[in-house]
Amino acid sequence: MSDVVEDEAEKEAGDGGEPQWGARDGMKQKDQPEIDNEADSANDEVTGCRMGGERSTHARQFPGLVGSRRGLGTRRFMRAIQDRFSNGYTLLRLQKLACRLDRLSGMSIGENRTLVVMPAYNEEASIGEVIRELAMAHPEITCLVVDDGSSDATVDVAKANGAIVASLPFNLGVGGAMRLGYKYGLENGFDRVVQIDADGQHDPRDLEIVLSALDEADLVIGARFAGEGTYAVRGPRRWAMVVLARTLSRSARTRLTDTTSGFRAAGPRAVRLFAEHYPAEYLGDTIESLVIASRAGCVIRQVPVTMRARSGGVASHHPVKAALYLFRACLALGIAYLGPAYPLNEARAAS
Amino acid sequence: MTVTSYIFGVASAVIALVVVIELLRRRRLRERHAVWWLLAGALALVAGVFPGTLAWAASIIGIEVPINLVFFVSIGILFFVCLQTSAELTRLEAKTRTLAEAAALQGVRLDELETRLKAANPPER
Repeated sequence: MSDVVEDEAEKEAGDGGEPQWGARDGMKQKDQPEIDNEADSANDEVTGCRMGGERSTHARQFPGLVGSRRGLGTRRFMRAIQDRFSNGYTLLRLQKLACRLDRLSGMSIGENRTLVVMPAYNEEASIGEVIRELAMAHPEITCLVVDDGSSDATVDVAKANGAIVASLPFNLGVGGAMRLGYKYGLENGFDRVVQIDADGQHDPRDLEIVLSALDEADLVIGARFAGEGTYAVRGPRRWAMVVLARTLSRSARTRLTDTTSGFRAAGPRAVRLFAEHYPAEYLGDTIESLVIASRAGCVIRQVPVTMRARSGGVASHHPVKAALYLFRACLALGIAYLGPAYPLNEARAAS
Repeated sequence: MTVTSYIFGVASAVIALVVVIELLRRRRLRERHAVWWLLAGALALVAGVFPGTLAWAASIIGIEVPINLVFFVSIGILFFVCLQTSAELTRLEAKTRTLAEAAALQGVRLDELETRLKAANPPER
């Protein structure tokens, strides 16, 4: 059985270059020079803070190649067999098998293990679809759903769709859920941890853009540029966004526009930092975590990603609420800068 | 000041101190939480037994009506007790968070072990 599967996987690998992947490669090549320039200037400023290595030079020489070709054959193979097996468990077993074959045939580039963490609080309606989409786009990536004390069927839906589920006994907020995700990643030997919202507003296919930017940085934020038209905000909420973007851009030494994005990827050093010090307070998961990362000397980058319409809930436009948001955001920012600066723990990198 | 009010003042301070010490003795109160209450009880006892010390302390600071010093010190002590309680609450929340994370991580490990166990020993028949 396994021989047959391997043959099929290898055959699929031979005829690469599907139209949509070609298109994505093109898009990435357009973005790449900008990222490179930023990274180079940052290297001058933060000498010795980068994870120098063969992988990153590889990424620079072949922009768009790294990551995007990974598991191409497997993906088509998976699509073919999905029609035959709709059972989630069988699918999971097959995915793991395919992933192992992928590694054996030397198709995967680099030895990075990536963990996708989805903090989920009562997301039974959308989470199944997000997990399936992620598994389709990246069967080789492990998906951890952190159930943040949900009272609905989130856990069952996530398990049925083949995700690993960590259940918090009560609600801790996104920050609490994410620290658990980073801890899980650290304990289980994952180099990179990506946070994706469980409500489906992020496209799992954008993972490649975010992950390839991670070659040059410790923390990559997927910013919602594409949906800017639908994401227009005014008044205090807008001021809050501007204040946050300006302040955080300065301390991160790079231009950040969407500081509250829930789509972010952390490299090995940031994973170690966040497993210890990811804040659980209000806005801590977005604002304070950026401050912690930049003060620890992490290299932070922002890449554009598409954002889809949220299935439910829009940003509040009530003036009082918006003013309160501004106040709390400034407070969170102030407290974050007053707090202690944590060093990047390099010692544990060796072990 | 009448004898009754003198006795009343001293008795109140003694009762407060006795309650705090009794709680400490029964390990119902940790000593780092009891420090402020012991301080308050001791001050009340001193001011109750020797009312002159209160007037003397007030005159040193420049407070004309000594009773205002009592109010000031009482409110100050209550303020610090509240602050300490809030700080303690934050510490406890941080610990609870760590415990919750540990429990969730154990849960994941258990799930994985059970799955493996089932795969290794498929149910007979």
